[in-house]
Amino acid sequence: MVKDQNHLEKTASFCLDFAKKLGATDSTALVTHSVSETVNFRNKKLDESERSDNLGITLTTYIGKKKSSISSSN
Amino acid sequence: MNDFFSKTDLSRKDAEAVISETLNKCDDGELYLENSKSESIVLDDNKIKSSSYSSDLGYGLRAVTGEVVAYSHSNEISKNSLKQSANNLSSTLKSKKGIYNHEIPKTNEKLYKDINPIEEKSLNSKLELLKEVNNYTRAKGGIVQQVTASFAGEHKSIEIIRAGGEVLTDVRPLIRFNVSVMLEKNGKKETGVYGIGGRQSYDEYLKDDNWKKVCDEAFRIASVNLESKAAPAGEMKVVLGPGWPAILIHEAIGHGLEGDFNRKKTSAFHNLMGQRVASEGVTIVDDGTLHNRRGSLTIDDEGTPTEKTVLIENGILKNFMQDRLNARLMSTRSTGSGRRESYKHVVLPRMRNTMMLNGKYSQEEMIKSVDKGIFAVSFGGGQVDITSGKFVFNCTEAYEIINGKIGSPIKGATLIGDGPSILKEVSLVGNNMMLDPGIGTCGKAGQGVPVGVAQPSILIDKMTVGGTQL
Repeated sequence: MVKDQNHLEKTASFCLDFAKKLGATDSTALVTHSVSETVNFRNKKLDESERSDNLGITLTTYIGKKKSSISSSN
Repeated sequence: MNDFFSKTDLSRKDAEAVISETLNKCDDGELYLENSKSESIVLDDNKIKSSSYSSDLGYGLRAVTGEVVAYSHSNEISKNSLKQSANNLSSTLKSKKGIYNHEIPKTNEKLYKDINPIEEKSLNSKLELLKEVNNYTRAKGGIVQQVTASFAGEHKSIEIIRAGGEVLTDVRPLIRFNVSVMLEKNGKKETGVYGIGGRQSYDEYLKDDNWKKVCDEAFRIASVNLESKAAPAGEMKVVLGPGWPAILIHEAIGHGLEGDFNRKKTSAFHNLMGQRVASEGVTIVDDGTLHNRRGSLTIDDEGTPTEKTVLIENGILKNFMQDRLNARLMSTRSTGSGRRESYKHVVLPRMRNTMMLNGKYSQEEMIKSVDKGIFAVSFGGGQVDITSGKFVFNCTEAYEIINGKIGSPIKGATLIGDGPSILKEVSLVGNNMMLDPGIGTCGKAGQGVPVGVAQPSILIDKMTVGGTQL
């Protein structure tokens, strides 16, 4: 199941607050959760099925004109 | 070693039970766990332009029966998530029945040390070094317009758990250091790029000022190109230099020798096993067992130890590169070539270090034998249709050959052809085999994996050169 909007928003604002506390002048946080399913047929036969479940955070921070970006799925 | 079960409600025992239950009616499959950390720092225009760090943890559960692969991956290692994956696999394969193949060869060998390139040196020391690289390269003269230098490091821990509880693990370090220099002289601008890398400690690349050699080489390539003239066009003899130009063999020939394209009969080589596909004297191997090399793996991503696979021996097609699925369907064994970019990707048969072995001729002999042709020393980008082997490569360093002598550097030369035909046009194989500096990434089906290439100088009798000289 895809996590609800509220949970994702909370995680994003936690990251932004934390970056600010550490001295960032600006920051953006991207929190995503996606679930996808793909099925491939080849020569009229089932060949491959794939399910993907991905929760991720990307945090970009600026101090003045300096920029740094990290991402994690842990 | 990473403990994948320390921070989750999923115990190793639970995971083993789910794996065995899901896979017991399948031909093959495993749970693949991965924890990778990567870092990259770029210096450009006299300042640190960007630094990035990425950490990724997740699993991929795979079940294979017959030709069908069911795969489910997630970056949440938990009881719930693994169960969902197992249900997904079971419902895909519910009408299929297989017999699980427990056989997997073992190895005690380690081809690289357990080094963490990200932690072994502080971020500050890397930043300082990039600044030193910038100063050193810019000090080469007023013609230096721009210097871009970068470090990239990766540390990947994997664990494979098979049905029955068999566990296979590997820890893979990877480093890449790159320098690009732009020069300007008399209104003409040229760029030179050079890089090194492999599965070793940062110190190996940076000791004894090894990094200076990278800067020198990037500067040299740009300087050569400043003096270059327009490339000739048409069909002519081409001498390929040793080392990195083997990327042409990788792209134009190597992909065609991968098991999946041959099982599906889409490769130009699929019905040529045991037949002559190249000139006498051409021997091509794919070797995953070279210590510390970029394309080397102690075990592949299915747990099979890698090996040196002879693909073409003296011009005769001997073997394809196989993962477990294609090997089973083609009634042969895996060559330890099953690789995936990450836990988010299915296993495919892939190359490791693809090499043309030495012949007996010297590079001088080859050049002497050419009346009119080109000597291609290094390639940049290119395009290739990996099943037919049709390619276009851009030379980043090349020279004309006139009457057996190397002439002026040429700019904008492209090499056009197709792998299977080129193999038959190789007339002389050199005795100066060289490995590439450790920079290659191979793309297939949207997955990028690190690879190596190697070759001696070779003379190709007939190749289309795309140039701009009229």
